[in-house]
Amino acid sequence: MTIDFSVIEPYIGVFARAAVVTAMVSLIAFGASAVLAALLLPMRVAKSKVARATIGTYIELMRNLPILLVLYVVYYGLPTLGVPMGAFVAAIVALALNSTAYMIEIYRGGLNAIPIGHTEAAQSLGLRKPTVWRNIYLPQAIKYSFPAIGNQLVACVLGSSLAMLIGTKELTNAATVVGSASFRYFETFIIVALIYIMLSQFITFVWTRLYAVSFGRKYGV
Amino acid sequence: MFNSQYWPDVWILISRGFVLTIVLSIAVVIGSSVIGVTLGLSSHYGRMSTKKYSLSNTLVTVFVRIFRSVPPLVLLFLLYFGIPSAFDIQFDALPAAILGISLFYGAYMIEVVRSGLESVPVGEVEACKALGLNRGQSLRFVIFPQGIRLSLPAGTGLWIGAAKDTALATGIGLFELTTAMMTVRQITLSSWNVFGVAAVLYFGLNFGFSRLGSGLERLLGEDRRIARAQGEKASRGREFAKSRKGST
Repeated sequence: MTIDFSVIEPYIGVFARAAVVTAMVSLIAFGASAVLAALLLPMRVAKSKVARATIGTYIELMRNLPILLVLYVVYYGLPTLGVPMGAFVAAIVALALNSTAYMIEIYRGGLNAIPIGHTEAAQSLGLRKPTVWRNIYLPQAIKYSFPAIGNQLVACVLGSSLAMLIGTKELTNAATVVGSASFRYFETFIIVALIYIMLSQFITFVWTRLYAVSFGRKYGV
Repeated sequence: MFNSQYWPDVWILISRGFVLTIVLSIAVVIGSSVIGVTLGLSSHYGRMSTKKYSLSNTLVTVFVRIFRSVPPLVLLFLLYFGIPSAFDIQFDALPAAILGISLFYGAYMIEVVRSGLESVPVGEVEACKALGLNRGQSLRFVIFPQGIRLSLPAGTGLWIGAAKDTALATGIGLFELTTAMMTVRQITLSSWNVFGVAAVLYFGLNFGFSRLGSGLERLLGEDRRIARAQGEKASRGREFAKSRKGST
């Protein structure tokens, strides 16, 4: 059989629309998890054992269960409890739930990199806890964990491909639709793989530039 | 648990799915480790050369960049639906799933192995050169044994990731735990029981892999080996000092 990429041409619009959905799902999920993780981080490192155990259980659960299982629980499980759930929203919720767990650990890694002297200095200046968190801990934690956060964003883009299994109309779903319409599975999946490669290389590039602009120095490849 | 009228069937389905998931995860863990260690080593071997440009290093970097940025699900579809439609190669679902997930996590594993090999202190590499070891020898006797241990913690994380992602094999119709779970859910019409059982099974499986990782780490324990080596060195030094004292 021959390989012929021109048969894909009529479907470019489908791919473009699907790529937008992929970008939306992954960006919204990533943004939500970045904010949620920042809010939950103080609990992860709190003195109270109960708080730490609660967040610790959540993180362990999310890191040890497949995203697919979480996705199915959100999409098929939550409606039985009376929560209405569409495929698009379910994809975002599941991805965000998964990503939050990783983001908390990433932030915590950044937090551990802050020298103890900063805490002592803040204490001796008499700063309040919220002030210390907002002005000293979080900005530095974000700086130290910046490269890892970029990797998590790429992981979100790749993870959004699972959403096709519950019928979200994103890129991988478009690939199967176009594939079955044109009978050119090889070409469609190569094209979709290329789109994903471009997306993640683009994110990596932008993220490296962003780091250089915000913190002045480039980090290694 | 489930309504007793479904009892034997449900548990047979779930255990069949779980067995396949175990087989898949073990295969994927081995596959990604093999890819990671062989390609990671060859790329590091290339980098150790005195020449500025290394072909093996460039090829491995391209491999990593490609396979790290394609979702494993797309890789599975490409292998299972794509390649047979264009070439005369037919993949069964099982090898396609193992190969696809191994390629994705192998790419990550290469980076982990590479960074482990690179974290071996530069003084050791210089010492190898000073002793007249060639590239292969210093890699084999000095850098690899230490580097592989340094890459174990991150590698364990990838093993768990790979074991989790065997759930994607449901997309190409393999009857593993997730497929079994959804089948049972349709038979019994009870979502939460099924999700609970699957969660417990996946958690147990991954717990096993994380135990395996920490066990290996202890087995390759750098601390003990270094302590032993230093002990030998110290006793040899004392003997040397004693012999010197005796002679003068």
